[in-house]
Amino acid sequence: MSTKRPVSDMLLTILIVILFGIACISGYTIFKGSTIETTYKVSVILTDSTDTKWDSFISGLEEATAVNNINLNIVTSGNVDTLEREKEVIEEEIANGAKGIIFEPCTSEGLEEILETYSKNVKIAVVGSGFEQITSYENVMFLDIKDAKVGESFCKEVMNEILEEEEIGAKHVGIVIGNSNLDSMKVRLESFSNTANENGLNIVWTIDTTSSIQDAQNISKANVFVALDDDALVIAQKYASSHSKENIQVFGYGCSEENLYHLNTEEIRLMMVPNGYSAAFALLEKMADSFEENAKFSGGLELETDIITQENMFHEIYQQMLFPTTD
Amino acid sequence: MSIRNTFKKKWELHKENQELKKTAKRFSTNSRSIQTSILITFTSVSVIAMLVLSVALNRVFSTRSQQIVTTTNNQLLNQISENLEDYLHNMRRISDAMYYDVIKSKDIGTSSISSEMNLLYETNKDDLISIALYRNDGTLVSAAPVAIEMKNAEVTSQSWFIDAMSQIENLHFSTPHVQHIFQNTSYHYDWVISLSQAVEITENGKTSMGVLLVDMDYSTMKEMLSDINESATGQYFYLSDSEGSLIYHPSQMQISFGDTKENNIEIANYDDGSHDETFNGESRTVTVDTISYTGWKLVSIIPESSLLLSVNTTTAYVLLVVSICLLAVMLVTQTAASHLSRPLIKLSNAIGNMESGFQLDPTIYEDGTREVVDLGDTLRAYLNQIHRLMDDIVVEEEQKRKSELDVLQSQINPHFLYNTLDSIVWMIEGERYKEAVFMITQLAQLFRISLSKGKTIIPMEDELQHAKSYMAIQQIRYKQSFETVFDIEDGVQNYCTVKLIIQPILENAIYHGIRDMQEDGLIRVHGYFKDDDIYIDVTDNGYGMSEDEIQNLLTNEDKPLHSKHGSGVGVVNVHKRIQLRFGEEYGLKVDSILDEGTTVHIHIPAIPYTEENQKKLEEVTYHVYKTTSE
Repeated sequence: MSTKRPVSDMLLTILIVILFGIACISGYTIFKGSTIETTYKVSVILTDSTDTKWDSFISGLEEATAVNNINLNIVTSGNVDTLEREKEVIEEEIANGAKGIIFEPCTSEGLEEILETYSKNVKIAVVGSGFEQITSYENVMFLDIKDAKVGESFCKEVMNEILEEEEIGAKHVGIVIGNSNLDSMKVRLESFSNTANENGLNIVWTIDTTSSIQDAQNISKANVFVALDDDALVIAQKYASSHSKENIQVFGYGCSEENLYHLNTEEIRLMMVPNGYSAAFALLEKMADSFEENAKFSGGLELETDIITQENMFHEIYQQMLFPTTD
Repeated sequence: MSIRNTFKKKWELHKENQELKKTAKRFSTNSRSIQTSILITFTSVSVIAMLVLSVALNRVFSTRSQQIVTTTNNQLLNQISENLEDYLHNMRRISDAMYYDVIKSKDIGTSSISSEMNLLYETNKDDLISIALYRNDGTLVSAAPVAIEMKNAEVTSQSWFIDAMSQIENLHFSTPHVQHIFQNTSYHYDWVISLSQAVEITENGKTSMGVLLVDMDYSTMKEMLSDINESATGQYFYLSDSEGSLIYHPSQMQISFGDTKENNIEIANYDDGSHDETFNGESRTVTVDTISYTGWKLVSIIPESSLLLSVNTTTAYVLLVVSICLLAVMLVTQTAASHLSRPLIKLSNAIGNMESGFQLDPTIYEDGTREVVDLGDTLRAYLNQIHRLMDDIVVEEEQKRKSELDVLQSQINPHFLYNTLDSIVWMIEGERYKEAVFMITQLAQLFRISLSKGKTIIPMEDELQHAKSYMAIQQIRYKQSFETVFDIEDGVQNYCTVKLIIQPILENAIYHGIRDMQEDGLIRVHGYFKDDDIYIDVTDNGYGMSEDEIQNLLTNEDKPLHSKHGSGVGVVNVHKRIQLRFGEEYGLKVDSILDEGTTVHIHIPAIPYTEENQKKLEEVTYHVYKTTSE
């Protein structure tokens, strides 16, 4: 009897294999369709997440969350304002299943250690300040504010504004910087100061938020206050409001509701506002891509800024950016 | 039975054998075909049927699936539309209540409307941000909650104020905006949709126009719409005003920043209902529902990819079911085909064994379907018939062989008889009566044993006696010119032998060995056991034979049955008879050396002579005897 396998048997075997293949693919398609897509938990750790300066940024994160498979967790466990507390919260979030961490470092010191330690396990996005000096890490992306550029362009905007009224020599500038522990702030100040010096703008004092403006004014009176971050702008505006007779013009970098309110009341003359929404949206999209497609997540993402005045702050595009309709 | 009949039977047997071979071949070729044919036929029919069914089902399910998506979407759209209608109607009712029940009924110069305004605000504060009444120059009459205007409020330049004053007969709904005309100690600005209408204000008896502003909380509406935009399927809803300006869109900020686009301006011109369009290279279904009074457009967008997702899932379901069904059908068909064909294959194998001769008595498969059982029965009947015929042939052949042997055995060469009788006559004439009597006695003994009552199998003792009688006669005839010695081992006499096997050998020894010798010849008959068999060696010291003569002695079929000199039973016939009776391994063997002599070895099995053994061996061959004895 012949033991040769007939062609018909081969065809039937092929048919069975094909049918089995179709069944498997169909089953997988159904399974994939019925399975809730994997969501990746991303925790946002900010030194003070309740601060309205983060509204636009958080709004951008939330909108990006809606179109990506991200489960966003804004950590609200009080102020995260020390290195130890930052580490603690990061570890808690990783233990709770976070695959990505977006955090605002309270200080430049120890940042490298944090990135070195945790970037092996999670994707980390550093926001709040630029950290151009820090080495590039795999799994770490910096929301790069380009402090040097900010300092320079902000100085030019301030000069343009005040030159419309008087000679530049009549203006005495007092600078209030934010967190002096941050390298970025130093870069921003240096850039501003250099530009001012180059253009003959007279800086009479420079202080940080822990110092008293009154003390600085007592030494040398400034009629133009320049604040290099949002917290500094609040302080500067408050001093200017309470010393209205001194006719101080306030300029600042920031985006909190309080400062924007005072921009509307014209107590602040001009603000340089970071477009936190767009940056946050782009940042989270990149992080989502890195989860989904193993895309590279490193380097820097430039944070754009806009110059906002009382005249343009309620234009449609700016009111969306400045007063995001966060839930 | 005649030779003709035997030939006819043989021919019929051959024909039947050929038929069986053909049947076996047909089964062996087609048995696989039956199984495969069933499988292929059923599978092909199933595949075609399932394909047709799957295409039909897929079309039906896909269409139905799309209809469900569209219907569900439209139902959701209508529901949201109704909710919005209710919400906006409520806002209009608040505005109308404020106007017709409070403002129109009071002179604001003499009485305050603050308490009524506050009451209305408090009652609806979940949906409202503020209520305010302005004179036509933009000055604030009253507001709830009580608030101070911003220094730079410039109310008259606000779009809601301008709209109200430009079309005094209508209620005007603005697009969402940040309300920034009131001071706020918490520095917070709310997103509102402003409902404004021109109102008649009576102040100190004078009537003038003013604007009533009801700021609706945008977050209420946003929440209402964002709740239905949770789906991850790609479908979404948005709300625009009649011009297409976005009131709510799930990607509103991205659109504002130009990161994404929406066809809102064009869609605002669409009539209510579903429309297919291609936007940004993507086909999609747009359903528009206009909110009454405001003219706002509630729009649902179903991208084709979203519909395809549901269609793909439906197709996957259909394919999964169809492929599983087909696999099941194939499995069942395979099982059924195997079940149906197994008996045929077994039948075929049995016939194959018959054909190849591996199995002389194949067991015909007896199970399976009725047709197969019938076929098996038929084959079994055929086989039985073949067996019967073969048995008949064997019996016939045996009978024929026995007849031939009988003929051979019963014949005594007439020359031998004539010479012996002539010798006896010569002895009587010479008055040698004693010798004559001895010779006649030996002749009588020779005849008695030759006849043996018609038996073929006789005791070795008789056969030896027969040989001795023959040699006694021959010695008298040849005047004692040679000597004969019988050296028989004890017990050999008690075993069976075919009769007349020694005498032809002795005859051969006399005529071809020692008859013409000058010196005295010697013939030795030696009987003994070896390897459980019996050997009778007949040795003469005659001239011997060449190799050719030895070969010729046992194979020459043409040698005449009756030798001129001998008893008529040739050596070749002895050999043939022993082989026919006991098998090929027995018979004669000749050793001869020229001028020295010849030894003929008679080799037969050692079968004790009993009446039972004798009868059995008479009826059947030694092989059959051995098989039945075992």
